[in-house]
Amino acid sequence: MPVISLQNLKKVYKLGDNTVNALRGVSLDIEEGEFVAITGPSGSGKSTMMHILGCLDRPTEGHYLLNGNDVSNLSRDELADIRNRQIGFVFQGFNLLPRTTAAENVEVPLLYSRPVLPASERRARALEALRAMGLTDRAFHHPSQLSGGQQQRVAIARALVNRPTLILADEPTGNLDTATSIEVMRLLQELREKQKITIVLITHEPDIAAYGTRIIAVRDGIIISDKPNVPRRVSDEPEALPLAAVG
Amino acid sequence: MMGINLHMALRALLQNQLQTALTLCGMSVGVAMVVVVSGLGLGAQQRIEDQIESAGPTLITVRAGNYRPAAIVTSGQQDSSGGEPPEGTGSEESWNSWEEAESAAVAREQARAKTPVMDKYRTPADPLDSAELALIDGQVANVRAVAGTLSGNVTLDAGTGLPVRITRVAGFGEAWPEIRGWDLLAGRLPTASEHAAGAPLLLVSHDVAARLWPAGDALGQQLGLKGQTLTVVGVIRDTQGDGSSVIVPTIHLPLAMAQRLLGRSTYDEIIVRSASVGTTTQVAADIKLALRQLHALPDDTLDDFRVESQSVSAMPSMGMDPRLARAVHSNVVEFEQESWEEMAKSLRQAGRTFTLLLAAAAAVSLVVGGIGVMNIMLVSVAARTREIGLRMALGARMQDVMLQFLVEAVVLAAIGGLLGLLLGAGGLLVAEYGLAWATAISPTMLLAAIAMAVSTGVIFGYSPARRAASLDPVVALKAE
Ligand SMILES: Nc1ncnc2c1ncn2[C@@H]1O[C@H](COP(=O)(O)OP(=O)(O)O)[C@@H](O)[C@H]1O
Ligand SMILES: [Mg+2]
Repeated sequence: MPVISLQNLKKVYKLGDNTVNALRGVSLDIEEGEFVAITGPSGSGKSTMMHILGCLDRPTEGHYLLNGNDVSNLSRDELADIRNRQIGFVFQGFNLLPRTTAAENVEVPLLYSRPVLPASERRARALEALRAMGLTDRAFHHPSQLSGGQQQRVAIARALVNRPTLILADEPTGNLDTATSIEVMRLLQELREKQKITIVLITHEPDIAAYGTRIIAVRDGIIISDKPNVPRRVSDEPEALPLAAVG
Repeated sequence: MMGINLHMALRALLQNQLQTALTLCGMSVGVAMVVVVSGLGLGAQQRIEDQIESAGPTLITVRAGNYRPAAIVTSGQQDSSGGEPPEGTGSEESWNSWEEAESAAVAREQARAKTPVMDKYRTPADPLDSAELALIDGQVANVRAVAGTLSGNVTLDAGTGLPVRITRVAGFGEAWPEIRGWDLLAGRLPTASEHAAGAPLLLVSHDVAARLWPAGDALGQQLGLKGQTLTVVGVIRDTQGDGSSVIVPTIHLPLAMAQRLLGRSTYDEIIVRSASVGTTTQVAADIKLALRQLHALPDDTLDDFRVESQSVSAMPSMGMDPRLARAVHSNVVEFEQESWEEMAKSLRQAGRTFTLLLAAAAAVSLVVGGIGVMNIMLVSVAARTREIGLRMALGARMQDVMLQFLVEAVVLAAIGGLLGLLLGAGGLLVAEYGLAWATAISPTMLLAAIAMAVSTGVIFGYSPARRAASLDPVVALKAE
């Protein structure tokens, strides 16, 4: 059973008299453990697709089956529940709460899980997720005290803390320099390989898309190409740095 | 979950210190206004209530004898019948000197001694004595206190060196000082055993003390009466006036002592305090009934005693024959009670209106505080749109977001409310001790102020919270 199954998905935005066909019939299956990179020029519909995949938005037409369940017509609160338990988000701008420690940031998804975990359990899970990202010694730093790469790793820890089956990353390296970007990509690859987590990544950079096991190109709201890919290895990078040295 | 929300709320408020501080100011001033205003209103109402209670007719006087209807209608003469002391002192003002006045008083006292207890104006009467007192004390409901009194003039023993020759001896029962509202200025009141034994001691009013012993301290001074030596143990002020301007100075003795000195075992009057203003009419009626039964009066006869529910001096001053006034008062208890209740009602109404008006003004300031809360919450929601979008993406449901912002508003309002309570309590203390205004603080009122602050938070926090909760997650995430 595919983790994600899109069936003739359409999304129409209405702006007064204008209608924008952001997605014009997308069909797609993504199996467990795939690392899918979605590429395309600006305005091609990547983010729209991501919002629907992330259950933040609903399609105008078509069906979206997540882990076999049709989520196209669920209520807001039902979608919130699915986001909380099954999906981890990684954003371009990190989206960490300011003046809040890394550990507390990582705990946020746990605050909205039902049943609510006790505080000690939440803290333990957050610290564990941070440890997996190599951030144990930064657990009680505020985002402003962390580098961009560290902030994105906190965000990945937050995405993982509730043990989702799917990670959605929208331009996760957009705000990072090359060396840090490579480090983040290595972490994502590791997640896929060690924990069999399915990853959908959006990027307009071919270099970054090359880390996926499958590359999908989108243009004007439709898929124009969908090819398997031999993922690029971090060790291929001449300027690759060991994790500890990444800023 | 609530704990998490509280924690988040406090953090958010701390992160916007200036805004929070300004909003707290508005909120606390609003609540302080409510506290001060309701404290003043309550104080005013209590003061009115006190005055109604103290001025109101809770005092009932029972006297022996009654007026014949014929006497009231036919006689233009002043009522000078015996059995009770003269009322009023106006006629004595015209004497030229104390000596002259005293001689007149002595003459009148001698005349009085010859006057029969019953004359043509009076119905035959059973005198009042301990049987009536015990009956009223034991059988009539809503009686707070009851005491007998007896008075008469007694010539001082020779060689006292005092500036007067006769003195009016007024015996009082143990409950009398409380019923009359005596203030003890110096010394003490007789003890229960001294009352029982009729101990040789006396109390004088401040004015009498100054007249009898102009040189100095009245306490410990002694008087000789019919061979007995009496010691002054206390100086009092009778809030209802104890006749200290009478030419013959009054001295107050334990009742048993006065009875011995005057050679009588009866009382002139029995005075009764009813439990409250509202019960006076009923108590007076009950006393009448009880005494009629005690005296075994047939249904078709008049009372052989009078029950008056308040001083009757007011009516003669309005031009009414004093005996008519007294007859009306003692026989139609409800008359006075009713007009009095009318007045009490309008006073209470005025107090309530006053409080309501003030409360309305305070409520306006609370609304202003609430608008402050709403404002900071709207600003907060707008500034944190991205955070809201993020929380939604991470799984927050509408109610989670709603609760987060509502708790924030309520915490803000409640902190403002607590500050306002302190501020308001301070204001009331200043009003009470600095300005000597009547104030009152009740726990209910404080709880109500906090409850009002919290509900202000809920009411004015609702719409911003609702706005936050209904944001579209995609749009919110894109916000800057
Ligand atoms: N909320 C919206 N309202 C109207 N049009 C939108 C909205 N979001 C996206 N669009 C339009 O849909 C198209 C696809 O946008 P998007 O999915 O953001 O593309 P990408 O992420 O690939 O740049 C664009 O033409 C964009 O202008
Ligand atoms: Mg985009």
